[in-house]
Amino acid sequence: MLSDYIPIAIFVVVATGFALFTLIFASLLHSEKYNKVKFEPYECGIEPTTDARDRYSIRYFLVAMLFVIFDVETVFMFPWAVIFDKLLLFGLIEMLVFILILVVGYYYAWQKGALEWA
Amino acid sequence: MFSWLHLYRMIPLLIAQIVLTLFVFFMLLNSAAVMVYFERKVAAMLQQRLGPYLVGPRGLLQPVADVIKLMFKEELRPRAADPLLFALAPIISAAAAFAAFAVVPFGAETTFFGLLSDPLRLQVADVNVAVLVIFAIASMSVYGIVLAGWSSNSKYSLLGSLRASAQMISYELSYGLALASVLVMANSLSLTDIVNRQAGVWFHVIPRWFLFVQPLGFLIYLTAGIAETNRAPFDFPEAEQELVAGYHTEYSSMSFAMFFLAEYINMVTVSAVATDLFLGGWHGPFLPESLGWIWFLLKVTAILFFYVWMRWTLPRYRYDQLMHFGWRVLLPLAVVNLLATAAGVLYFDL
Repeated sequence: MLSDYIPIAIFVVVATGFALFTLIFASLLHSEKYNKVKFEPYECGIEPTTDARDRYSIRYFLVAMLFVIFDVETVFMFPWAVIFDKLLLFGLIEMLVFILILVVGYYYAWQKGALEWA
Repeated sequence: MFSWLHLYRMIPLLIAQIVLTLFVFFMLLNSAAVMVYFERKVAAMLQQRLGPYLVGPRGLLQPVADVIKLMFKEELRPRAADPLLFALAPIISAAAAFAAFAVVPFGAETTFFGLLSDPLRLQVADVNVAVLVIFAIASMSVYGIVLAGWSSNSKYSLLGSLRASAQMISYELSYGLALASVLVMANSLSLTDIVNRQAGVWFHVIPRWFLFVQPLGFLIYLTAGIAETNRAPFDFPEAEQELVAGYHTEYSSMSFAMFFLAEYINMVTVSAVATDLFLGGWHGPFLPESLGWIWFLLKVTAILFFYVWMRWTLPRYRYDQLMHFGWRVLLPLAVVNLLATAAGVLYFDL
């Protein structure tokens, strides 16, 4: 039932409200003695010369892509796990085949060095 | 059928539900404060020093002093930062951390010694897909971290958040598979059902906890949980020696406190879920069912102590070791564990 989820929504609203309230309350309390240097991003005291949003390692993208594939797999296993008591041997063999196909992809990614991090 | 009389009867239960919701919220808030104190005291014990002892009796008011100090601190935002996202990130982090606990049951149904006519479940929301909700909300917390790192426009923040997101999504797979292996045995996504499946004992001594059936699953869950909450030995997002403070380098005052709060509440949630999934939740000997929450608290405390113990005992891994371990060891192990559990359910009727 959808109404079961209302307490979760209330909980999120309470948490967000608390965070907002604390942040606003604190902003009324604290001192403000700003100067130019305080608005620089921290870089051990050296003035930053370039924008921080620079190019970064391709590996993070690789990890993100692999995650999407394997996360869908994980989510697929949840309903299977819940009704496993009805699927029994058929379910186990089905899942073995499913995982076997994934293992092929996993092996390929491994051989291609996608799981390498150095 | 709807009637006013029916609604009138509902009122005590409704009030109890609201009180319970607020109670859980403030207890979570308190648990973060207690954890700060607990962590510092345990760290001090492990390093043979005293830890906080000046503020209040035995330093018990130290977390309060910390919060008051943070409140009066200057709020800073780098000039090049994105104002909206910079402000939003700590709020998302805190809200996601709280939200996950909403579906965690922490005690059996109780009428509070006959105070209520209908029994009340000790849990904010009784959802039949609780495990899925937890899995979903646990992945939400990565948003707060990514937004914090990107919006700060500081190199340390960006690197910290990149590392954090890569680490969290890598370990989320093993986390999910460890959850699935419990589901195979419990055949339900409801945490209340899963806990009730663990009631009773084997051979009059061993409790029927899932921990004893699949210790490997528990270990995988705990390891992935530590990585998910960015705690030592997997605390790369805020590896001080490399990244200053990681994704929250540019945050100060209460915005910083929000990240801090979120981290501790995430720890509490992971421990509470571990208790429900593997340690039999509120089931335990010597206590009546209505006082089961005492067992629950004890088990959660034990896991939290383990968390803190880990942090102050183990050195930090290297980042490439972390990724290797996550993808090449933990993930295959979790898949094998899932299949082995399924086979075990099939042939040994676990």
